[in-house]
Amino acid sequence: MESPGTILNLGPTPRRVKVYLLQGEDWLDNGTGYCVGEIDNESKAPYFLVRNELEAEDVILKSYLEGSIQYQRQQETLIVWTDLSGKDLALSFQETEGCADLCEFIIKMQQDNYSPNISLYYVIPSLTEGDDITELITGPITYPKDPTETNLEAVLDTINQGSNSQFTRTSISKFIIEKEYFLKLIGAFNKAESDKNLINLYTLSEIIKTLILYNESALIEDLLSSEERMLALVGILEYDPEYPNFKACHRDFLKNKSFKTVIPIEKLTIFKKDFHLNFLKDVVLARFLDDQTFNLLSSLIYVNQVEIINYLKDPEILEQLFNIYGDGEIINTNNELKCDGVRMLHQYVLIAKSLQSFQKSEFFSLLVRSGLFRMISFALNEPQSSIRVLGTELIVIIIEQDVSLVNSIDKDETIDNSEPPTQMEHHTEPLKLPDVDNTASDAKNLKLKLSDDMTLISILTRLLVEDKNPGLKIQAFEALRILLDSNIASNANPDIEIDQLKNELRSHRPVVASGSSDDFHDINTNNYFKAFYSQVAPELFNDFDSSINNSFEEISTRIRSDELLYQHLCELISFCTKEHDTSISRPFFLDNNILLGVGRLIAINCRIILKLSAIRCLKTLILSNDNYYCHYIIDSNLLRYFFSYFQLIADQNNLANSTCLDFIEIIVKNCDASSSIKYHNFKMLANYIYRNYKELCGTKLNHVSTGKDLIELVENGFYEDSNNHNNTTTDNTFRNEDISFGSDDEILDRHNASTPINDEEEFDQIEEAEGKNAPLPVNGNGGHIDLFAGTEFKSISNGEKRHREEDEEEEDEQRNYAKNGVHLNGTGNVIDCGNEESANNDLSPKKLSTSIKAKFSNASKKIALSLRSKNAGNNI
Amino acid sequence: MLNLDETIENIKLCKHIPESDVEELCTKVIELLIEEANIQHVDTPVTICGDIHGQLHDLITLFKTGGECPGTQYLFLGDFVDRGFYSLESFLLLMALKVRFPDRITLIRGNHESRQITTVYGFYDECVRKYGSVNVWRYCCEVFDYLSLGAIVGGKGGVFCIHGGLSPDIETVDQIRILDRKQEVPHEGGMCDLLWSDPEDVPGWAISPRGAGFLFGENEVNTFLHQNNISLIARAHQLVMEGYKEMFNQGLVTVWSAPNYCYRCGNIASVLTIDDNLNRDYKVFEAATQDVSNIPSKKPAIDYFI
Repeated sequence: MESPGTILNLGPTPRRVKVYLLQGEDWLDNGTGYCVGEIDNESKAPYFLVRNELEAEDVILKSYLEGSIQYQRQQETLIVWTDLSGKDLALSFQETEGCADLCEFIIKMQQDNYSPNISLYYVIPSLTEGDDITELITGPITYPKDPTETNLEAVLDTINQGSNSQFTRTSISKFIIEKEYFLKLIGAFNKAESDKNLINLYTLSEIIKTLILYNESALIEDLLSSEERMLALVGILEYDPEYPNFKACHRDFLKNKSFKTVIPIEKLTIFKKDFHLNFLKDVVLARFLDDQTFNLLSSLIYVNQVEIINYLKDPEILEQLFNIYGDGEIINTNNELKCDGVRMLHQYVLIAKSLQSFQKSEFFSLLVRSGLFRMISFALNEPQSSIRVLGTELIVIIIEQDVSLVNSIDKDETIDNSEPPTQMEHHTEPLKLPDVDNTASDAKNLKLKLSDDMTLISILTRLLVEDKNPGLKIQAFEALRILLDSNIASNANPDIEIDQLKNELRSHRPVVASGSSDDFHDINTNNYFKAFYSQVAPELFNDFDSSINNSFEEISTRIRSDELLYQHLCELISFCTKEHDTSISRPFFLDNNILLGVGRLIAINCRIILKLSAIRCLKTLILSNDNYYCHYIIDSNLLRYFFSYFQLIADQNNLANSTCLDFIEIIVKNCDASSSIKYHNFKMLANYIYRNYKELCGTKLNHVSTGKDLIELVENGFYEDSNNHNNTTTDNTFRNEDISFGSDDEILDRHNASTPINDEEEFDQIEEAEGKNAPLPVNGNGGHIDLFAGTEFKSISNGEKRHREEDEEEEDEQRNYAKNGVHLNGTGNVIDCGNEESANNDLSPKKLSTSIKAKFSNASKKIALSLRSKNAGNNI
Repeated sequence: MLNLDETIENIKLCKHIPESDVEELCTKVIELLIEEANIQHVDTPVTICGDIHGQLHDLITLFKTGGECPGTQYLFLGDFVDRGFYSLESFLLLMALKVRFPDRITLIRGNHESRQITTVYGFYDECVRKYGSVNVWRYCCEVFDYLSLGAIVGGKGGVFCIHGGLSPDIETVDQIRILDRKQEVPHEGGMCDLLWSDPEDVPGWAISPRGAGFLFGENEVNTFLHQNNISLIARAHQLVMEGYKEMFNQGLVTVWSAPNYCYRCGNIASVLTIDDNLNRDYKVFEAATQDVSNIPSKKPAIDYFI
């Protein structure tokens, strides 16, 4: 390109433009050409040059960027201005890039001082009606003059004006940092304060607030770059024109603030900075901050906190801290220091909690390795309940992040392994636990190194049962719930459940090919939960065991003395029955008549809250849609407690009444054939209620449809007739039910669950059903196929079918297994789980987070698919 | 033991209330709430109040505007906590009044009375800052689970009061009775919608930009009013610069009771009194600024360890 006389060439590519000139009201086309930005060699004056696209020698426009011309960029492709002679000109570019190029040229000319007084604005059309927004992109900046006693108003004006565009905010911020302008403001402030010049003090306060709201992180860092500056800043902000008669005392507060120290720390500044920034955000600026500046401060705090946690990730520092709590040899440290140590670590663990997962995980695991449990042991045995609370909270926060940190299911290396991990088999005797009021020296003998041992669970159980502090009880309860989560092992390995199931499948197949790592997971979690049910659960749920011959009175007295505990226990029972593998949990709850104990709570003279907790616990059981529990509930006549209570409050309109209605409603809803694939349990319950409490339902539940619906459903055979070509009578419906749960009983037998059936009539029905189906047909389709061709499948509408694809796949597989001569029992567990989970999905979605739901449905899908592929292999 | 009158005075002065007192207060208020219906029946005359959002000093102004409790009977439509700097004190004050004058004040649940929301919008942090541990927040969250979901003022032909709005799952007020409300606010369903929905000029039901609840139009309001024999839906949940706003041919009103919301919105606030003849009387009020103790600020953390 030819560009004589150009020293600097910012628009090197000629850009195609139309040149317009305004005459009167009209923009006249002055021709089309190529535009470049150039600088005159001699005068150093920059100009736009447009040459005719047809005849390069023909210059359409040569316009100097001079004086205080204001350029406007409009609509991405237009540059419009009025030159010094008063002519209105416009360049209309063919492409956006061309326009951007030439705007760049204007910016460069202004900022490199070729034409320092020109300016460029972007005109951004506003989305709604009204004025367009103009944003200054470059131009001469008015910087604040050095503050004096008399010009503060003008300084404030300048700074206010500068707040209108990002360009000026950034420029003024740079200016203030470079010129140490803040120190000058501090000088003016000290003068004004000693002169008691209120007007100036308020003006200075406004200046600082405006500067902070510039939302420039470099500027804010500059204002806070030393403790002296920090103090001056909050000093200026003590004066607030909104509250002219008052002055805050931020400086006094900060000067008198004494930080508590536990161990010597070298890098004090980052800790003080954390406190100061939080003080600024929460106290000094709380009312002024807009969302952007709030976020800016928060991110400054976050960055500093990451630095703090990184600093604390020093094994030497942590060792020093945990050594306060003794390390084998007895160290005499005063108790108050130990308590402060707990408070301190709690403070930093709370900080770490807000960091990203990998950061806190690293920090927590280092804590555990450096001896955190020595501190926790101390804390849990400390007479001050506030310290016990903090100790428990430390546990909760850490296990929330990663259970494997305290519970090395398959990550032994994260645990301080001074002793080999203990095998479950050696733990048939319950562990001796130190009493809660033991002294600290005893407490340090606690071994919280957990592979499969129940030490931590036992300690938390003790806290839950024995501690009177209600907050601590909640914490212990929450910690237990995390530790007893059935996904406990999947933290480390998300496929664990599937692996487990696979193993179980393999063990029933002729060729056993089990990977050793799979076995490892399997054994570990199973033993873990078995240990819970053999060692801890009996102690925890002892009072619910109705087979123990305590007098009713005795138990009620005990329950009334700590109703909060029994509320938590009801929730734990719900949780355990829902979450745990039924083959492990169900025998415990049934053999020990725990559920009867739960039911009895409803009858005891205790607070309504507790009765309602018991009712909700029974509701969870029913929603689990488990044949054994359902039979148990009916055969033990457990619902009599519920109904006699309901009868009492049937006329009231309160929470208790709503909870009871909800209880019946879930049964009614799930009797509806379209709501669940496996709904015979609900039908059984509905029939039971109809037989025993028809009158109550018919008379006391008139204001809502629940009672009426239940009666109608039962009397009309659950409206199945229209869907079922085989069965037309209620009797037949009953038979179908029985047959299908007969098949499930077959599956359940393997779990050695006790069969708590004493009602003769029911028992006969089951026997009859079992007689029909056992032994299961090995070949052909015999009676077995009938099981699955019953009402349940027929009644699914097409729309439903899509949703239930996965469940059906399982059922199909079940059929195939029978065909292929694999004993159905081998798959029992899979089918059982799959159905339970799908029942959960359908019935109580609110209890399951979406991620868990997704996981469950994925798991069942995977199982179904893996079964299918295996089957296919067999067939070939 | 808790001395209620003294505690009420201390709360108003923003004094530190011992953790054990908070726990006792929460337990007592739960005992009362458990006796209330999901949709509680409230007699006239009553003064209905919208969102408070932790603006304790404005709550005190509200009582000056509407008349002190128990002289005036109050119904609060939820959102007691979050945003403002005194969520805990505001909620404690309302709970203390509830325990002191159970029949003169009704509290129903707002979408902010939830564990999930309060961890994001300030109440959780406030409790940790003021007490150094999470337990006070836990006690309060327990109470949230027991709050009624709504109220009917003045019986037949009266006013249906909820925090958010209507739900496509709920056609009649009686239907709400079947819910076991003692739970964290679900992400969908009737209970969620009552606390999250907003009225809007839309035909039928529309997706809510809030991500929970629905937008509902005039037709839905009219149907609900007719079906349940009520004359007005009173709700809160949305900032109204003028303090209150009637919509849909006066079939619905939004009442907002947090003046200068977030200490910078510049709005005024209102309360709505329904008299024995179901007449509506709005009283508006502005943010309190006269007194030094009214300057809203947060207290710094109690101890800081290095």
